[in-house]
Amino acid sequence: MNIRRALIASAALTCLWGPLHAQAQEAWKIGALYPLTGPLALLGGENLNGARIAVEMINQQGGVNGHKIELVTGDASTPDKAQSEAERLSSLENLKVITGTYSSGLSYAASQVVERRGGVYWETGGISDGLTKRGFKNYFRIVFTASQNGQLAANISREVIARQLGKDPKDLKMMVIHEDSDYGTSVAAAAEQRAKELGFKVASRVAYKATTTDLSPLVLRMKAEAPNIVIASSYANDALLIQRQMKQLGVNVDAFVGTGGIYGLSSFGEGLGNAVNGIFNTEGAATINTAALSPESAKQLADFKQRFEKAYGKTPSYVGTQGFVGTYVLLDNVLRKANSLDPDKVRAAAAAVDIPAGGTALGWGVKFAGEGDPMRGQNVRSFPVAQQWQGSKLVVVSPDKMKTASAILVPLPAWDKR
Amino acid sequence: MLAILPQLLVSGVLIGGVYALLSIGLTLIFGVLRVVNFAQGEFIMLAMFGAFWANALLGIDPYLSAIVVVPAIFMLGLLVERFVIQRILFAAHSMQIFATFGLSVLLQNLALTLWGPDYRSVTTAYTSLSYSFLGLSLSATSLFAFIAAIVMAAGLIGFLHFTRGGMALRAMVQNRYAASLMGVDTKRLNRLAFACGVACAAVCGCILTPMYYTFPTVGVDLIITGFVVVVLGGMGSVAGAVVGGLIIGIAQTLTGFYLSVEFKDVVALLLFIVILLVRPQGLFGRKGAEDLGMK
Amino acid sequence: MNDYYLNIIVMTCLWAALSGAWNLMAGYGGLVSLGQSAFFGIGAYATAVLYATYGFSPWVGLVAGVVLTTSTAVLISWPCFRLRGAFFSLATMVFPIVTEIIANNWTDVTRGFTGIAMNFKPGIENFMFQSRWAYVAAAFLLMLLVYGVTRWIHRGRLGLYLIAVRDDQDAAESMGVEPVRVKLLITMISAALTSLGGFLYAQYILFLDPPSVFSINISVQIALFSLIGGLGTPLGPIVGSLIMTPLDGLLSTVLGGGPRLLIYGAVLLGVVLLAPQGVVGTLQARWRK
Repeated sequence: MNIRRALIASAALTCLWGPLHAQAQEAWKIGALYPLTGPLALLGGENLNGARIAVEMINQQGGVNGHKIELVTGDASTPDKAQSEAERLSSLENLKVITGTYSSGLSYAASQVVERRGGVYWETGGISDGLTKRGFKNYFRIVFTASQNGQLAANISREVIARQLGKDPKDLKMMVIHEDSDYGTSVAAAAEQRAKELGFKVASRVAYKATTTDLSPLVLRMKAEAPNIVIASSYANDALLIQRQMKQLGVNVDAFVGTGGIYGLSSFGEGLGNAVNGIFNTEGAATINTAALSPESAKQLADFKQRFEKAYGKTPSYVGTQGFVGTYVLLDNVLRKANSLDPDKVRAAAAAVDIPAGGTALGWGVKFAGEGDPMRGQNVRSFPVAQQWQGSKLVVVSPDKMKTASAILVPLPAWDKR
Repeated sequence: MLAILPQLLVSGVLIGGVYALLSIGLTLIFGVLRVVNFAQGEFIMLAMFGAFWANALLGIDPYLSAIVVVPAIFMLGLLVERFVIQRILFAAHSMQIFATFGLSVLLQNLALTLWGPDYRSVTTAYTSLSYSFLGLSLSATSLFAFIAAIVMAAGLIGFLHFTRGGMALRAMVQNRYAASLMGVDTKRLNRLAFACGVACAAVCGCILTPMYYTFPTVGVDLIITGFVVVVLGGMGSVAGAVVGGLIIGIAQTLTGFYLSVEFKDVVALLLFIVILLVRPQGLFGRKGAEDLGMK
Repeated sequence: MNDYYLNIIVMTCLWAALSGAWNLMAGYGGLVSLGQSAFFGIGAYATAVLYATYGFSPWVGLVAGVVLTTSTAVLISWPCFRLRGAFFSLATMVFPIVTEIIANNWTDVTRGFTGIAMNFKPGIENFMFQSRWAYVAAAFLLMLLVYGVTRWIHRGRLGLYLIAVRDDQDAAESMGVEPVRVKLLITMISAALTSLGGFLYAQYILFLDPPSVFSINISVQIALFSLIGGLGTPLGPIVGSLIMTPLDGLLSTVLGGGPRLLIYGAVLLGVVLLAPQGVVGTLQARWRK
């Protein structure tokens, strides 16, 4: 009797042990290539940090189909480093799925290596239009393009600003200023073109070098042309200089529209104090009206923010959130469905992704343009939103479904009243 | 378009003051030690961080923090001279260049490692302040920079020409061997001169903190103009640094407005090339000064 | 062999070649140029533009690059040779900045800031290869070429003239050496070789934009490798690159970020202060004893 009991017990235990043991499957490794040194380090690092939180959240839920996810990072600070790191991750570490890169230039170099080796490249931040015009079959970009951003700036100039001013676009003068990198130029060119289509009087599009120590010639030009609306794409120091010198030289405009980057960072708000209020910013936003999000996404967003703050001591900006969303979709929707790291299966799963608007923490849907589309691999359901600095914080003011506040301070009060 | 010319000139002169401030230390070091300090921008950066932290942690006004920051950088300069510069004073040019270049890379990344790549800013009552004078706007921070540049330059010129220490320095520059025969302690003077040069950079840093963001690579962008100004004005001439700074400031502001804003940064480069072609010793330099042969 | 290691070999050889080209100017000629990236970028852009915008075979781009850089070398040498020491170096710093501005603004030809992404169509006529081994061979050959040229100069009359001019220009001139001609010759050779390096870079990475190829970091890196290996010796650049390129890759994985470049700066400083002869130079000095 005792022996039989013991036998049954051990048989039972063995049966239980099997499935329990099966829970601990091998970890899945994914590459993460971001600029961690050099001038892009600040935002590249934040993009990566967002990705890390996504991995943390997924792992805490048990991983993807039981596989824990491990990020293998690479520092892609220049195109040739991006290339060699991409090589390292795909050849040496044998990673078939790689995310990155925040910067378009780096994405070009790295993804080119990965595509040749048949791996999947998952872009979470680079916005140059050309990235998804190469016809790569394994390249997927979740964020919107630079042109979309520029176009939005022009669009809200009409829908929000011109409307509040009670004027017609053809009665409003606009000036587009931008730093002369790829990002600044693409955004500005798109903004200028769309603004002209909408009937604005675009006085000029002025480029300048981001690292310049003085922008008084630019600001004095603004003074001479006296635009009603200024759309700007800036890097860092230049954004601060423009505002300060506008104040010093007494240049007032009805509205100032920044287009992402520095205009969405807390350092911009800190540098200007109260004077920052009223400035618009077109970009993705982690602060859209949660009514526009599905309940799961809203919960996800809150969870993400909490974890990010705990881990990194600051509120995530859009850049961090886009890293999060991009990676989360990769892990939760694509890899889970593919149930494998095999590039063919991953590609098929990605092509099948069909998340409606509101289904991600940024309010985007996800659907990638497919084979035959000139923008193959582009997430056609991503979009920037218009925000405004109010009370030294950014709130979303357009589109209506996503806004958390209405636009104020149009026209902007004169400098001495800000 | 012409109505705005006075304002352009004023803005140009003021930014010229900032450029002069950047360059005085650089030209001093070259004038005495015959070394181009490629790390000068990093000393400016360190001072900016010093002023920033003093403000962020203790609430001290950046201009006031100079009282602490400048002597601190001065001490650092003494150390650097002793352990780095002194050893390469008579080495081949390539070694001199790479010594200060290496120092520059080291300091930049030390700052990056310690403080991260974030952009920090200091906002005080006067960061966006401007004064109105005869209908023209003068940015307060640029005005203070301009005044500081003039005061510093005047002080240095006065020291060099009217004190014994200054005369010893100038004697040493003219003929090192003869000066040492006359009892001039060349080693000590070199060390002091270098430390003074970086102290000038520190003053510049404290004054610039309310104007620009502070971040590890800020020195790199700033110092390129510094080199142009120094070559234009004449290596080793403090007055040259001031005049050169003003010329570049005005030239940039005018071209930026009338031609193209992007082009204004090219103007400095073009002036640089022209000066090298036409008058390499700069406006105030001695002819042949560009020849650094160690004979 | 794993492609990752092959990649390291390609980059090591490429940097050794670029550094060797710089070594000719700086180590032998005493012309410490901080603007080599101008030649590098021109070589890279020549092939990229001709291929991507005009559809020419990169072999044409190769020749075009060499022609362009040697002519540029002639043009810029004339004003710069009158300057010596740090002045010369400062002057050379200007050229990559100018070329970068041109590349950024001549958008019709160079596509401006967006840069050029070259389509990968493997084939010998496009100098693009499916197998990494071909690139390894190309890079290795380039490195050998630079080494060969350096040795030939090292032993020949040109080398003698160069060193004479470097050590005491006036004395050399009084002995009948024409400093300007000698300096010009070495600059042209160096420019042509650097342009070949740029060509290989473009064909290998298949993406370039103005900031990445005209960057001052490239100029610093190629100088650093020669310095570490041994300035003015034929093997120096190769040794320097052998030490630093894999090390850099290793540091990337272990450290990344500020600490890695911090070490870079410290190494540069350390070599200059403690071992200015570089590895090869110090070893040679030991052997002589």
